[in-house]
Amino acid sequence: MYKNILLPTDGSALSREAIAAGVKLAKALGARVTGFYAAPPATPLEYDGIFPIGYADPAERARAIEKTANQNLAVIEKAAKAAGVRCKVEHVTDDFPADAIVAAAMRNKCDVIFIASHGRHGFRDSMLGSQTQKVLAQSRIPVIVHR
Amino acid sequence: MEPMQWLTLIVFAIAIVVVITNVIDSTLAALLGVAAMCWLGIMTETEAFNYVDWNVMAILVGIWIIAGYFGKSGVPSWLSIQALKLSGGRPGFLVIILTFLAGIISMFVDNVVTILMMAPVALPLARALKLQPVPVILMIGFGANFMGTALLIGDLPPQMLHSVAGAEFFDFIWQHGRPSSFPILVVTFLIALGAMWVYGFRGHQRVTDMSVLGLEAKIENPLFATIVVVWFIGTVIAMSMREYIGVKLGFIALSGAISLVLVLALLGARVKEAPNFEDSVQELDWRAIFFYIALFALVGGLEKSHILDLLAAAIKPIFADNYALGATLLYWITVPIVGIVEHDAYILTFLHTIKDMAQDGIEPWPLWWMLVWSGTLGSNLTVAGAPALYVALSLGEKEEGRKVSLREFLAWSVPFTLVCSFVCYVLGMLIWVLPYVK
Repeated sequence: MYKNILLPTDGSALSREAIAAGVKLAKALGARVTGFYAAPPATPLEYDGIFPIGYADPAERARAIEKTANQNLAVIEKAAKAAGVRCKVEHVTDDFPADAIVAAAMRNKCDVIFIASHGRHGFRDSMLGSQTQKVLAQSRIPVIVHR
Repeated sequence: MEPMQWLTLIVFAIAIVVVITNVIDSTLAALLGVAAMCWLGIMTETEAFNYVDWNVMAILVGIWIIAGYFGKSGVPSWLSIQALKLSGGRPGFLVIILTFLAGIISMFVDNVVTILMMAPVALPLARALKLQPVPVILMIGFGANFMGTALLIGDLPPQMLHSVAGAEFFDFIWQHGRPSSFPILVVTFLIALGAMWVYGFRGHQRVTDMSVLGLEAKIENPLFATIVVVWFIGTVIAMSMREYIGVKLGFIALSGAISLVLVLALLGARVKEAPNFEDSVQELDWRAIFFYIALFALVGGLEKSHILDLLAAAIKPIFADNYALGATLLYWITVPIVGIVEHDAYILTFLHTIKDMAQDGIEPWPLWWMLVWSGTLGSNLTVAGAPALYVALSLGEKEEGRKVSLREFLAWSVPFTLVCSFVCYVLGMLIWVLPYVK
């Protein structure tokens, strides 16, 4: 049915659960997976939502972002390798993860996006917006939400 | 207030709100505001025409025509490659040099034009040195926006100061026995660049072999480049001598522009890289020119209705009671306001208001300078404050193929604006405001 499943990750525990389930689905369907991580731009400021919470040497911060991206994507590579599923990973710099996920799905010719939902509610959700909801709204290919 | 004054204020406020919110094109909104003032009888169409400072418009058009040729001469690209050599392959240092270069060019050239002429070289340089293009082009935008006020020619606010207060070319360097805009802003700029290097551009790996970057400097037609540079410098020198020549600045700028066009036309095929006159006129930012025309007429409506007199009378006690506090409030209220609203309208309104206060014995020059500086420096806060930053941001987004979030933009603009504003405030208070405190 599906041949190329996009597995976006933000490095959270919920993402890891979705990765495991997504790889399992890929194996069952004989599909391959494309791991994806949208890293924030390497500004000297570190943010939590819209609030700056720290400063780091910019070059050091760029290296830290690169390291985090590789670590998060390694989780997908490892899970795929263990399941014997073909895997490709990609990371981009983008402060709008939902846009980046939809664009990555198109770029990599994925036929489904398999994504975790944090299920945020209230003030935090209204401030940050749910990336999963945005992906659901913007995507032109099927989206499977894992909870 | 009289009913007509209320009416004027309402029309002005609606026009400015529409300009800020961009519900319709900002130039159209400003022109509609002027038309509304005329149709409602606030001023006649002749008065609206006369409120426009056509001398300032002539400066803008004249300098923009020369700057258009300068941009196509290959000199900005050549300068950028020299910046790379000067940086010794240090990426962070290169960004600072490019920003400084943008600042220097923008003292003579429109801010947007400065960015457009530097971007084609700065972006490949950033790519080659593995720098993120967005902060590089934003820094160039900040630099261009910042230094436009250092001299009389580069931006509208200093030209408005010339129009309202009569500031001449050398007044921007030295006035009333003390350093004025150019020295104060250059010192502020250098300190801000140092701070920004520490903040965001140190630690990048040095490229020792620059030949691997594959970038070279070549001016296609040295004759064309030489003529344009000589004409540009000649026009600037003539403008600086305006008081001795005895004609308006706009006339000098236009004379420089049309004589340059004539010389290039006479040289014909020998300067085939030069755009023809029709193209250079078409490339002028006519939207901006009409916006500035409407702006002068809109503020003229306020003046005609004596609303600026009322504003001056309302805020005069603050300056009369405590001049230093008044200047401080003017400065620090202006910085955030111009960060979110179009700064030219704000500056022009308060230039006139300060002029009105001067008639009641308030010393105007320290306030005029503090207003122009804070109005320019604060406009770097967001893209809403300065069209040049919008252009820079768009170029950066296009280069990286992604949108830039507000928080990413603010991560660069807020530190730059804060450092600039603070340093300039201290220098402005010490050199200009405190000596006038009674």
